[in-house]
Amino acid sequence: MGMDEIKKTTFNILKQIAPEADEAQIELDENLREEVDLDSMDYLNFITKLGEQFKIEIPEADYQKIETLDELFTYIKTKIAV
Amino acid sequence: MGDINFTMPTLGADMDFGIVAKWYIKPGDKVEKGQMVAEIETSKSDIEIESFYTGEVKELLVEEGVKVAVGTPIAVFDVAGVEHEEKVKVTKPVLETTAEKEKAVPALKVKEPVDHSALVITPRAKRLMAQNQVDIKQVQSLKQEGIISGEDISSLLQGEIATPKVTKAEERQQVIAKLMQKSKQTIPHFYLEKEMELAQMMEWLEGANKDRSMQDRYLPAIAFIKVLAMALVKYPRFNGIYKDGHFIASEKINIGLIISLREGGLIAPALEEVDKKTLGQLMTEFRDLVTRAREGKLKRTEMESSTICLTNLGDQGADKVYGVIYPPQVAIVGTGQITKKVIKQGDNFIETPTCNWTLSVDHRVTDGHEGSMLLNKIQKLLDNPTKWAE
Repeated sequence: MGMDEIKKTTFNILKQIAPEADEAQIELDENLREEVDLDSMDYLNFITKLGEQFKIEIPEADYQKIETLDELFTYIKTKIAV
Repeated sequence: MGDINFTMPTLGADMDFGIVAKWYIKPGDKVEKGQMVAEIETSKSDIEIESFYTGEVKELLVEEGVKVAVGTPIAVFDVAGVEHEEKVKVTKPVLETTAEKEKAVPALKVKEPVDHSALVITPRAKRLMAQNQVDIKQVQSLKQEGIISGEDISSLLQGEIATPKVTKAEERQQVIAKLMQKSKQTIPHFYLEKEMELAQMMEWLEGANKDRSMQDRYLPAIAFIKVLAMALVKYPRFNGIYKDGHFIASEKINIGLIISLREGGLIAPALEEVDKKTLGQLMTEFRDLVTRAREGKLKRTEMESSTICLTNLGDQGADKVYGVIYPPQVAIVGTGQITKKVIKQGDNFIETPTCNWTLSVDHRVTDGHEGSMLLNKIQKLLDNPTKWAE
């Protein structure tokens, strides 16, 4: 799966959680939860849907590695490749 | 006979502008000196003005509802006795700037962001508002250099101007504001806070979540809800309502969760009988409650059954929150963000997770002593997850 598709799918999932989020306004190198105002339940739902969609497991311990969208895209790409 | 300007008179030292509220005359009318010709609205009151001349109305230069500066010609009279040479050149109201011109057109069509502090509501406007039960919020967008005139209100009542559209979020905010105002005005709040150490709880959660599917992972928030409920079993005077001068303890521990809606506003549905449910059940119900709250599909009972509220602002990054009690409840608990703090343990310094818990309580029901006991109980439960976790 290419990076473009990863980004597109991720944004689609994000829109399900935060419909009002404006893709163009989200800074890719800023904390995603702050950028899109995700509380812990939103974030858990987001992570769960990412896991289902990309068929990957995201351990709780990895949350700190994927705080920004840039980090998340790279993380997903690496996980899928494994 | 000759033309003469009839100008906006000064009706008080502090009057800079006047609004022609009503013309009693029209072009072609004969007027006598001393005859009332118009009603002028000022920021202080409505005043009828009389003609200074006898003659005929030639032209009205200013429409009703328009505000003009003192001294501005508002009408032209053809007056007997005025020599041809004495004719005063008739001028239309001269407005200094484009902005001023815009303001001079039917005041009510002017819509600007409102600075409430600058709003002046004329007596006529106040009277009309009172008579027609018009709320200030309805007229706040009808601003004319800070003056809300009677004409503004009349137009509003006639539907000439669309009432500012109140969004659902604003409506909700107004409802919350009303309730919180009532709470603050009637409930003697007192506040306690305690920095809770979470090392044991976080370690337990981490261990439990390792074996759970992503969807079923426990959130610290759910542990907080459960711990609060277990502490309330021992200290029931924080769980119930205050009615007719008495506290009525609730048999059930239904925790109202303050949920922020994505389009704005808050809502506080209850997770019911929290003390009797497992963390797993609570997670499922919590997720369902948040989802339905945001879809606007909550049940009436969920909105009415809470016996105490918990507001968790940790996700938004606040260190602590001093909640306002949700009437007729008697307490609200607040939790801030989980942060790491360095503490001394034996000879070593270690990093440990902590979270500020606050307690807002109705002093008519209980006191700081009992509140401290409740907070201590919460800390003990946080230190012993096996007592409340499955």
